[in-house]
Amino acid sequence: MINFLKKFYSLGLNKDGLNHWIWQRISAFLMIFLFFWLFFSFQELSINLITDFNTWIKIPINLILFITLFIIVIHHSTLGMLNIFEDYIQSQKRKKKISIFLKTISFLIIFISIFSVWHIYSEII
Amino acid sequence: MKNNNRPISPHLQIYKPQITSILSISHRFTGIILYLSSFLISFWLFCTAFNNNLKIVLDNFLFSNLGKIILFFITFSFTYHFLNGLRHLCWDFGYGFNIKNVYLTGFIIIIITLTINIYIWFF
Repeated sequence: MINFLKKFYSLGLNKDGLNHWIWQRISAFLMIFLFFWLFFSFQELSINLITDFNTWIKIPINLILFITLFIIVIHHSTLGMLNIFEDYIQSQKRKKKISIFLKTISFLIIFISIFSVWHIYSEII
Repeated sequence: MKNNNRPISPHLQIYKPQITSILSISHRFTGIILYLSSFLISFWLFCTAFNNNLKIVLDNFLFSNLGKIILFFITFSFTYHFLNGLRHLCWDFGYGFNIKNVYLTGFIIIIITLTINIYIWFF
């Protein structure tokens, strides 16, 4: 059980193939709902994404779901990219280096995006 | 003897092009485009939050012809990857695995992707 939880909390980013596969499916499944929500949310408000984003993101539920969606998207993408590296990079050493680099970049993207979105949210209107 | 230079599967150069293999490779390729486009989204969010002048420059770029081409590739990749992802999830639950259905759903996905993108960009 502890072993299972350890694997589960690794978010599929360790070397365990089954765990990687399951997390990629979990994130894909969650994204279906969240992207439908995002699509209908913009449709309902009939807003221009580029100009009215600041107003839209100030609604708390939009902020929470947008951040959740962004984290899941980057997590899913990172798992997918690791999968490609697994298939096409021969040298284990190089594979490890590139994987660490990719995870760092992904973490930075999430950090910058959440920080930016939070800044827009907390701005006084 | 260990040979580190052996070809790795899926070996794209010698793999015979079929609808199944083309769609599979396209799924990965569009995934890479979407990962790279997340850099753009992140940069856009950063500009929106912290630098209004840079945001105006970026918005103008996105509305230019080159920007529209980039956005077209992103929307195309997104619709294709999303629909093909649904197909993959159906396979994971054990549906649509026989070769006839694999070909049929493949064609359906291509048609829906093209329809959605024509609708987005031309109507």
